[in-house]
Amino acid sequence: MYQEEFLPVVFNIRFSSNQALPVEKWRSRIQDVLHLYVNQICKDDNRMIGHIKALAQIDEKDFIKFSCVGNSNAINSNFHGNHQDLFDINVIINSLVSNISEKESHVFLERSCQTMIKRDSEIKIQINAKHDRQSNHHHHGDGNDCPICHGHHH
Amino acid sequence: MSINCWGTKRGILMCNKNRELLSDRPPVILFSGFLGSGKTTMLLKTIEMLSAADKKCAIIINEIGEVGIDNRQMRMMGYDVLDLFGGCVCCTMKVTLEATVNHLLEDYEDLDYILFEPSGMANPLSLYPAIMNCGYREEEIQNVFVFDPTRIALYQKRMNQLFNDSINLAKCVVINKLDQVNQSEIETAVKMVETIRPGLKTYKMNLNEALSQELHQYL
Ligand SMILES: Nc1nc2c(ncn2[C@@H]2O[C@H](COP(=O)(O)OP(=O)(O)OP(=O)(O)O)[C@@H](O)[C@H]2O)c(=O)[nH]1
Ligand SMILES: [Mg+2]
Repeated sequence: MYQEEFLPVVFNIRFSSNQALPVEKWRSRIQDVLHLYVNQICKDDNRMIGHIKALAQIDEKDFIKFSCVGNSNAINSNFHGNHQDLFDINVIINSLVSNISEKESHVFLERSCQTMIKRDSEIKIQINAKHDRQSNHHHHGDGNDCPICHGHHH
Repeated sequence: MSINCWGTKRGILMCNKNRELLSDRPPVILFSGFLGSGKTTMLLKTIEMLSAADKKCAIIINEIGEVGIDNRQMRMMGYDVLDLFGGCVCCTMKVTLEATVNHLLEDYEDLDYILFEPSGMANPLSLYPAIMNCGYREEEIQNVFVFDPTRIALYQKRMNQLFNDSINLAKCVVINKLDQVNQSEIETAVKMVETIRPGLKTYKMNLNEALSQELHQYL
């Protein structure tokens, strides 16, 4: 069914600069990277964007949430918090797209980041290892067994 | 899956060992809808509304197979998030959800509502057995189907079954993103609902604005 068609891919990227830049500038650069990423995805008509969402964490409370739904390439963003200048910002991207491999998604994102760095030499972008959320990992809080399977994975 | 509780109001809820409810259980509001339809946006509006009325709610968000962006966002917005059975890919969604709801019923005695956002890939039909195993009757599940009209073609072609199941289970339908579609698309969306369930209540709105007064009253 359609569920299997959407492969979730998670990226953790860090944007940084030698000088503190306003949140608005970070927002615009992240949005540009996402645009570049989505453009590459949409080149193939067989692919469909389920939802590409991203969370840029400014501090413990402040964030910018980005969202792209469908292939219109419109990226919505909402800023929650106070405006401030920042040296760096961490972004988690959750990309749910059909008919694309994880490797292809990675290539697209890397390319998008490289293009961005070329456009704006003030900015550095580092793609970190993805979150260990998938595969066999359990997160039940401090060392607790899974209350369902008690550690016996099926 | 994560659970998120807040609020101050103390209500009464008691469960016996067989998990039979001895008094009112908190209503479950289920936000169904495909990926990116607007479930989280709708849920946040509902929280605002309920917390303004001093209600204590628990939020269950299931983003299986993804990193939890929505629950991270909730946490950053100041809602207390308890990661319970999150990321448990070896356990079926059904068992996990059942355990989560039961945990809420047993350990949080003063809840007024349980708000549940399943993954946008889940067919709501698959969620009902778990909730019903916790003592809820089907008609007690306030299923709000968020119908994103920008996905009309998708629902008509590839996801026909999902759409049918969703409409058949919904207590009401919110047709949102009015600002992104034209009038004829809105009419098509309404017709699609009416063809399956004539008379099912539909609310048309832009979720980036305030909830409509009518829906406000419904919830
Ligand atoms: N313009 C407009 N945008 C909307 C409306 N409702 C939701 N959105 C936007 O649609 C995007 C997706 O909304 P979400 O609430 O994240 O969707 P979701 O159903 O929770 O998505 P998943 O959790 O990935 O399944 C966001 O950018 C929202 O701001 C609306 O009525 N109008
Ligand atoms: Mg959501």
